Amino acid sequence: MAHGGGARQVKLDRESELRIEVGNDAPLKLRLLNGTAEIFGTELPPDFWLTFPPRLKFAVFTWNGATIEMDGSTETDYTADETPNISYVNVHAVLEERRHRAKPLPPDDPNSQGPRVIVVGPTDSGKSTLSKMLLSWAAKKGWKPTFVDLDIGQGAITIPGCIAATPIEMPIDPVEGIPLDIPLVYFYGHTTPSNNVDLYKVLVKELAQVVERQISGNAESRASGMVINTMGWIEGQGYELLLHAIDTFNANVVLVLGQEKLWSMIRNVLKNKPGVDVVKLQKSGGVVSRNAKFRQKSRSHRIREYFYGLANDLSPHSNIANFSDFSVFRIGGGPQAPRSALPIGAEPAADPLRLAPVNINRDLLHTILAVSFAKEPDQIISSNVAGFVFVTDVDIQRKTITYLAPSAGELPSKYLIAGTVTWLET
Amino acid sequence: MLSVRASPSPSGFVFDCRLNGGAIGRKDEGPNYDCLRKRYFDGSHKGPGLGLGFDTTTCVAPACHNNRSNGGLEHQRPRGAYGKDGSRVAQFQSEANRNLGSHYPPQQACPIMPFQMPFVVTRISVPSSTSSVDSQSLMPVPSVDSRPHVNMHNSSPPAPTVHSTLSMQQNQRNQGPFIVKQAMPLLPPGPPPYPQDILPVQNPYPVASSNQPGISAYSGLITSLLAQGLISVTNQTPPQVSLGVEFKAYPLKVRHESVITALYGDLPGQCTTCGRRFKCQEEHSKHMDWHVTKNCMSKSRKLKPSRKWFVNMSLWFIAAEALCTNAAPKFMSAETTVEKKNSDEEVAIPAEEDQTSCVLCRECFDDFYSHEREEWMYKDAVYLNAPEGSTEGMDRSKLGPIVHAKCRQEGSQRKRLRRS
Repeated sequence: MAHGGGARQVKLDRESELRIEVGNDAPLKLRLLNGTAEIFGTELPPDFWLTFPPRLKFAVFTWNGATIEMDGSTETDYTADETPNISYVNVHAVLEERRHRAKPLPPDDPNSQGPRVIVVGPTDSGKSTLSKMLLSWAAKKGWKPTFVDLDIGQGAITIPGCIAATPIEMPIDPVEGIPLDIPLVYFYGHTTPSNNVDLYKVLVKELAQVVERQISGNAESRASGMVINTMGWIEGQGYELLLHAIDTFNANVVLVLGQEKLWSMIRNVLKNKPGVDVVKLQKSGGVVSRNAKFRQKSRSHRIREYFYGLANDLSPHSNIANFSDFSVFRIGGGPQAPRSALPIGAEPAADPLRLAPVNINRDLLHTILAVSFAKEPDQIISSNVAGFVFVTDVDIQRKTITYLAPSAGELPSKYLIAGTVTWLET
Repeated sequence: MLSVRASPSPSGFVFDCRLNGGAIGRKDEGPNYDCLRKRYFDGSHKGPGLGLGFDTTTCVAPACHNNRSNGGLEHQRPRGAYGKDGSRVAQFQSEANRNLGSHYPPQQACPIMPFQMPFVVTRISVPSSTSSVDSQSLMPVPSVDSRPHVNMHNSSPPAPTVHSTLSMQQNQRNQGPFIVKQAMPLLPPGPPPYPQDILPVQNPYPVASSNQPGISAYSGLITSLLAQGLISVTNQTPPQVSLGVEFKAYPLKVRHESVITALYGDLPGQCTTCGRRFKCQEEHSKHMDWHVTKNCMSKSRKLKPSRKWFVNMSLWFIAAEALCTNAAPKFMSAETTVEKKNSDEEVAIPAEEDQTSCVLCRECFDDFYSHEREEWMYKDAVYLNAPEGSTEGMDRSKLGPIVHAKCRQEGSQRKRLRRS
């Protein structure tokens, strides 16, 4: 399975795939020698070496057979001939028909809305992979679907702890991932929604409103529709949040991956809602389950990627600022009344949407702060963010804060949002 | 005179097609494809000394290999750059030369006879005897919708593979007339190929007009081959089974060939750099321009770039809208005509190192040195939030990002249209 390196060829039969995990230390080079093949819906150029960074997991799939050449070491590489890709591409074909149906219709026609697909399922069921496939196939056919990522745990668009949306205009680059040219990003600040369920809902609603406004004004976007990726939390409150997302984005196609129970639950809830399809799909055998440690590691990589780029090709800038240059806020939480000060039996309850100023002190060390576009503090919750800074030092004596920013120059705003996302630069 | 020869080579069978004599006319192919063509052609020339000769396999396939393998194993993309004079073609060309190795001279680089073949050769095998083909019989050119697939079949010997990556031909416009006098396919027996080995020998895009002399000549060849029973034509229009708009209507687990074809065969042109497919040449050409722009951006950076801040909400709307409407038709109203008049005047603003491309269309600005102002300027550029008239002395931070004048105009037009 693992391979130490050296060039070798792999012949793939029709409808089979080569599943690869790049080795830990060096990139892997790969090219398509003959036939046609795709990586999560994005076709490979013929006879062209592509370089995949260490640890990347991906699969090269072929509809009609292909020969692949690899050069470099892998942690894992094996060929699998059972994939759910046929049902995935058939889903794409139905979505495609709906886009064609929607395009010529006037906006007031109920069918003028292209497919709004929401992908749900437990963790490690391949949700983000299926999302990418559907987006890439749609973009290949010239559509401009909007990708909405509600997965605060991993974050396919930007760092963990955020929800975001971006229009997709071309198949997703198998190496670089979702393009970061124009993402619309909201900072939730935690990697699990249970920290502040209300805030999560508010942000999902904000994001949905903005996307709705963009889509409604543009026939191309409207017909292209959306693909919405969700969290793997499907029990209890997580399930409520899924229903909330389906409702808020007016999803009309719910794709349920890898869990019969979830499918029947959602189908039952939505059976009275006309025009919503709940479709059950198999998960791919190529999906590897990741433990908590792996998830933590991959979050850390995502943050590193934000500042330094996937292949260390970006240069962030370190800056020093005075405490007075910024106002840092935290949403929800805040100082709570001690239990002893409350009437007997009462639980301390903080307003989950309360905006609390944060004193700059050593507690902020190694945290990620989001830079809000808000003009006034009371707009912070409803504002998208310009990006993130990483606090590398806090000097209480001098009242200065040292931070890493993605680029040089002043921050776009003085309002920063703190959460619980931390990072240890490695 | 066109002769088609096939001979075994280490990499398979080689078709050697030569055109002698001066019957070939090259037409101007328009400016759109210049840079592209240079790239393909620079690397592909292996002139036999006959000004108009072309040697499909030997000049194409190895050159393409060189292109890639020379660059080592890196993920290479074509590079190009805007010159200070705004001519990106020239730089692109020299860049391409560097990529391809300097032994390919740039200027004599177009010996290939560009052509369009409205058919796909899917299988070829020919009896061991030589056949000559009379070109006098021409058949009507197939129309766009019914591109026939030509199966040249014969039970024995097994079909050899046509190993030619005709990438450059994918980018050619139709060309002048040439005369086919004789074609002598001679294919010795060889091992059977992988089915996917067989590359379509074609210009991938459907032909818009049927009165193209180049096609006629090919049609003639095909007709002759047909007449002699060497090939057969099957109309391979896949049955267009629409899956419909309902998920329940059919089993999801069954492969529908039309679904796969829609993602591959229906998009005949392919970018050899990133694998993207295109339905028509215009899209393909636009895409190659995008590669040039992208490379221009990466080249204009001196050091490692930094990640930019995400755009604010209003810019996001403008950018998302621009991205989603770039294929939409342009509207011209009386109001915009007036605006156009104004924008015809030279607009330029001082160049800024922090911003080298338009935030709306993401294309690089053309810069030039203004002797009047003694500084570098961006041509046809304005500040997004600048009011009409001069912006001299205004606070730079209030003016917003730099955009192309035409992009700002298009943005405001759309806004107006939406309001009305």
